[in-house]
Amino acid sequence: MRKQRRFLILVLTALILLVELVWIGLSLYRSPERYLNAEDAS
Amino acid sequence: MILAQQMQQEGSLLSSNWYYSTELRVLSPNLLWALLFNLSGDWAFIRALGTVCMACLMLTSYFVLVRRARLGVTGFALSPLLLAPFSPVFFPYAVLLPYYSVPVIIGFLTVACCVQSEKSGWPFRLLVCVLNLFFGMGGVRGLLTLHLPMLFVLAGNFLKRENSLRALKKREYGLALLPVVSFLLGFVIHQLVLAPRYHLLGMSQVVTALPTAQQLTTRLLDIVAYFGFYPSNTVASPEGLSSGCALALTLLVAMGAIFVIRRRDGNPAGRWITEYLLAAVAVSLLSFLFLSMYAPRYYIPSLAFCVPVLAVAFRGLGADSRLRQRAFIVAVVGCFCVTTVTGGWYQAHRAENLEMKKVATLLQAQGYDLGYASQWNGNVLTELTNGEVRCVPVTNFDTLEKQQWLTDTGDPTQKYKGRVYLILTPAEAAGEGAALAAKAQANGKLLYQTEAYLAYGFDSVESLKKLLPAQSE
Repeated sequence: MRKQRRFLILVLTALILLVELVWIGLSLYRSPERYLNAEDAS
Repeated sequence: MILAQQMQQEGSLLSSNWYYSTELRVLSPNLLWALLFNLSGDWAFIRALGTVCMACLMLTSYFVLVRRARLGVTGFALSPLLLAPFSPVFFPYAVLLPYYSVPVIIGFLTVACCVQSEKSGWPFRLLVCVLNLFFGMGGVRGLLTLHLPMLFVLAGNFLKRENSLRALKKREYGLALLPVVSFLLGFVIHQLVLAPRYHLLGMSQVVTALPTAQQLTTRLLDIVAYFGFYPSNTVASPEGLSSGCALALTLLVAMGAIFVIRRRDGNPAGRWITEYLLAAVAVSLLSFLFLSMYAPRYYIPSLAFCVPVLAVAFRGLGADSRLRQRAFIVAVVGCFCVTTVTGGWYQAHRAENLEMKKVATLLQAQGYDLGYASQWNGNVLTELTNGEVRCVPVTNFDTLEKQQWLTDTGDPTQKYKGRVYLILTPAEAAGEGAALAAKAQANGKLLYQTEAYLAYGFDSVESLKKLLPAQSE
């Protein structure tokens, strides 16, 4: 039971991380103008 | 990105044709962008892919810390917080625009190397030392954000070793000091070799100053703002709710840190990380109070350690009381959910450069590829046009004097014969650029006007310069 719960937490965390990474990548690719500032664009 | 493209074209790790800011970008995302420029010429693709790579590097460094500090599945489960938009400071400056992810990555790895210095293998220790050497070659800031707090933790451990949780052996002190020594060596190289060779603004404009009560309040409140506090909003709004949760999160982190410090039989590595967080926040706060250079984002390298500290506190609470542990994690997760949803909505609706996109499209369509604007607008314009529309950043609109900060050292307008543009914001057109704007308007040079920008077009650099107030007098 403890191992199953641990496995579930690991899988859920990995899924959340994947969703976050995809969201960050797509947001920047589709509309970089929303997020840019002068220092980082330089 | 502009510097990265220049580095790729020059085939160098540092550009001698660039005006650097307070630090040389020895270790920065620009290295990655420059590499990615070999794969593609699409700037949006490079930024998106590079940012995801930097986020993965940050996660990897965090996992190394979690593993070395034995934070187990709790530490892993809290890792999404590093990429979540809960913070209006961390998310934009360390994730979306990952310049500040570099000190966070080096911080996680250095602390991971030091928490159990004797158990670190030499390859890992060497990697951390090399990273710190390069970090030091960039400038002095890492000393304040990373190594001074680390030295305080080591000194504290040395002074109270009699009653310490786990006193370090002499060899361990030596090993823990290796990254600091590497950093200092890097800084010596920076001072003696790199700083004289490259165009660097450096810390020459930073002065010591006595803080006012207002500054003290601002610096302290910015710690709460880091967790998602939005000032000047009604309580019954998402921002108001997020602000309440940010206050609660600040308290939870503080309570968790105090709990870990007071426990004598807990995880030694976890206690080390917690002591480091407190020392880093204290050193940051003091430096922000007594030095003239400050922005809320300077807290990022220190406050990033809140995530592992929450994991340490959670594990420590579990040994005492399951009920307290569950209440703690429910409160932490609940508050983060509220601040993340609010922050995510806020980030998805940011519209700072939407008007600039329209201007960029127009200039591209009309064939303009060089012109003038302030630093704040020009760099963004160049990136939005895939580097096709270049800009000379201007510091004085009466003389079109070039700003010598975060731009290349050359003057592309010298032999340029084509049409040029000029972009002003309404504030610039009414203020420092009023005379030039009036003359350009009177000569029918206005190309396009939005709420945020006025774009003017000229047949040549000379025809623009004829309208300068300094020329016409």
